[in-house]
Amino acid sequence: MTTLEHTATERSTHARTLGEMFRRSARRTADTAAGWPGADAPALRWKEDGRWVELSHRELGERAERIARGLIALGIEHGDRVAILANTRPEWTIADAGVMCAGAATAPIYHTNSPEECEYVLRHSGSRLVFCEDPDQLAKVAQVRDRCPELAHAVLLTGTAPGALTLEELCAAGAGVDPIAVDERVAEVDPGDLATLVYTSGTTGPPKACMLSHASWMTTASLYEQVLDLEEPPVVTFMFLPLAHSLARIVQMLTIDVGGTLAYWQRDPQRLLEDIREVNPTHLTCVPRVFEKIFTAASAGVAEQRPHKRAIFRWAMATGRAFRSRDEADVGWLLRRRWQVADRLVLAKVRALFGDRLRLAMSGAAPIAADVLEFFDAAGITVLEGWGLSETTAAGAINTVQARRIGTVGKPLPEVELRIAGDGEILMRGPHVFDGYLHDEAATDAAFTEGWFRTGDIGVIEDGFLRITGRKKDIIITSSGKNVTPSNIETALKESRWIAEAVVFGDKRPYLVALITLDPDEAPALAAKLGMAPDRAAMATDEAVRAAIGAVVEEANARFARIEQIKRFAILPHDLTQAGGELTPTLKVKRRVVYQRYADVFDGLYA
Amino acid sequence: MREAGTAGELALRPSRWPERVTLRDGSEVEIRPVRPSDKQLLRDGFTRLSAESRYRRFLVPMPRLSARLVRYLTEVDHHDHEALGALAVGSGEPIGIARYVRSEEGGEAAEVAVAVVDDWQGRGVATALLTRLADRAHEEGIARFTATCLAGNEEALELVGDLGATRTTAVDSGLVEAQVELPSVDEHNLSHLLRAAAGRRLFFRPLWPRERR
Repeated sequence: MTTLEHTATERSTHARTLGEMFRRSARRTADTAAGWPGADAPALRWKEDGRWVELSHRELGERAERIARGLIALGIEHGDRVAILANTRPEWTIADAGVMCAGAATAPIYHTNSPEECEYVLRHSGSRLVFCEDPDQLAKVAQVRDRCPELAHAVLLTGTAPGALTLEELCAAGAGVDPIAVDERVAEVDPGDLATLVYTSGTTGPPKACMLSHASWMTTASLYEQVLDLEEPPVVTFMFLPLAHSLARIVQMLTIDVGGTLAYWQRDPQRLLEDIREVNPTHLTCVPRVFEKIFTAASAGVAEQRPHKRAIFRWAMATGRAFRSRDEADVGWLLRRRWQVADRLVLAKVRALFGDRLRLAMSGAAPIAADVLEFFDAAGITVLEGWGLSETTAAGAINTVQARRIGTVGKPLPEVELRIAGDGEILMRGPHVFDGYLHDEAATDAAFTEGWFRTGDIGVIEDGFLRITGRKKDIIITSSGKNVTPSNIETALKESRWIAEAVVFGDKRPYLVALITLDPDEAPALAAKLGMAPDRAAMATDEAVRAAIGAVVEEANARFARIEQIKRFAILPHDLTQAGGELTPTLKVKRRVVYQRYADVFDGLYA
Repeated sequence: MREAGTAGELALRPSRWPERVTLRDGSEVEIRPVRPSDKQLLRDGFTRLSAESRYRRFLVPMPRLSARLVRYLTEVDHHDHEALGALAVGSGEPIGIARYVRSEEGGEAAEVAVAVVDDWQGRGVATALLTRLADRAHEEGIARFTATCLAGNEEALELVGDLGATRTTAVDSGLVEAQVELPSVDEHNLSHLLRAAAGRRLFFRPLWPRERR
């Protein structure tokens, strides 16, 4: 039944722009109904009031057209920026499609952002309209609307509130606009035009806005189509990652382009695993956090079992590894029998967590631990790790079923050129690379060297496989894949008179923590205020001191999105020292040394 | 091994400081060693550093300078720790500061750090400070400078590289460490003269005491 007549590339709309892609995808069903198995697959699926609802590609196209007409009626012009402030939900994709069909560009905002952070994106992008998920999100915009002079309209994706149109009202406003106008708009757009901004963290200061053109998106989609197993329908991808992130966004575009189905989560992290099972995806793009969760749940479950069950689990995993590490032909009958038993007892249960038709799981946005990959591999789930940046449309290198090496991020995608600079930095070139940072020429210049994009990651190439070994910039990538600039919250903490040093940690971890040292000059004052002896060691563990520092942390947290907040902190009983190498003689702070030297303290904050 | 100089010796050569230096754009600055009484000047200079400049200097955010830090940065012994400051001629406003701190007691290596207020960056202040700091280091028996900077900070690496033969190593992720062998006294003298000649400023005064030769 393995017919590869309809390769992903053949299934592609071959559109030059995203607007064109949504338009062609909508027509494809009718044009090719006879041609493909699964050509009538829905575009979007989601659960509403306890039951699954679908939207066909044709219907998605129709909705996009109505929204585009509404946007045109409100005066949104070709090239204008339109912001979307919402969690990952079908309306996000529909609004995005509408913006693309109106010839405008999308400026996504994380739904977890604080009002100040929303203001930054709205102002910086010069957005003329913002789609808000619900009245709660609208309330954040309302707080800062006065400071966003170019923002003329707000549209609610769900619910109603004064000061904003509903989606239906937006569409009604466009009823008088001829649908031909949408075709004209789409035709006006050049592949080199800005399609979307993606905001990404810098070393200091506010985020930078990557400008990604239609050509970048469409080329990247075609590169992924060439290497990923997207041939046989159905292609059902599970959507839960934030669409403000480039990874979820390329998955969205790719799925639509090959006529697949986007199936959305119910926006409750507690129900994520249930949602995955229920959606029964064929393709799953995740961040390490999710795989870790499953791995931890499975391991913890086992740890609580009786010894003989634990032994069975370990035996089954070892058998799975042995079975999977051999070629089909090299598996002897004994190993095969053992594997069958192991599979029935354990491995099949792990696989069942993802439904029963998962063909490919991809992990990106943050590094994933090898033991987690090996665990799933033993169970028969191929998790492919890839690597890309917002600046490169979430593309770069990826492991594939054919070319895979655990511990690396795989080989470069076709048309992607990689080079390792003298200092180890990975340089990248290709049609997927962005056009620079909006309103920031200096940062754009600094991002390129002789036409190559400087990724900021450090790595080596081994037999064509790229291994990431470090990072040049001080950016924390949590296991949820969110890039966080530690310096912003560190600055906020160090503004307090009580705090001398604040070192934020969280790389590959689920949340951020901070190691804090008290200011030696101010510690006596703090002790006096709290009526205790100015003993640094005693102060470090004292509840009253912790409460005082906790208040500073709370205050700082209020200025940041949830993901950027400090969840736990520890106070060191002494200053950072030169003797320990954390401080250089000229008082520079070596972050990595702090991380290594106080690894147990940091670990304790995740216990 | 060269004999280490002392702060007292410095006082015997009053003509050397402040040294007036003409920058690339023609503006003039004065360079002199930092004194304990410069605390307010240091604070003023710090307020004129952008968040980015502060980050490059300390490798972490530095929204404010603690009293202890100010003491450490101004109360230097001119032997294991030397700091040279640049002030605008006329206004006397603080412009930049460069320092070395000996890495190990009695050792020949020292770490350098330099900061220039944002308005004055790109005019050659750091180069002027570092070349003079290298001279002072020589006098105090330092043979090697080390510098730790953010991996993307190429200006800093270039600056340090101009001082002598440089080796850079990537320190884990995020940081680069550069090691510069300061040229031997004669080489150094020559390179300094050439540099001075290139900058069309040649000062006919001993660059270091003759007895050290």
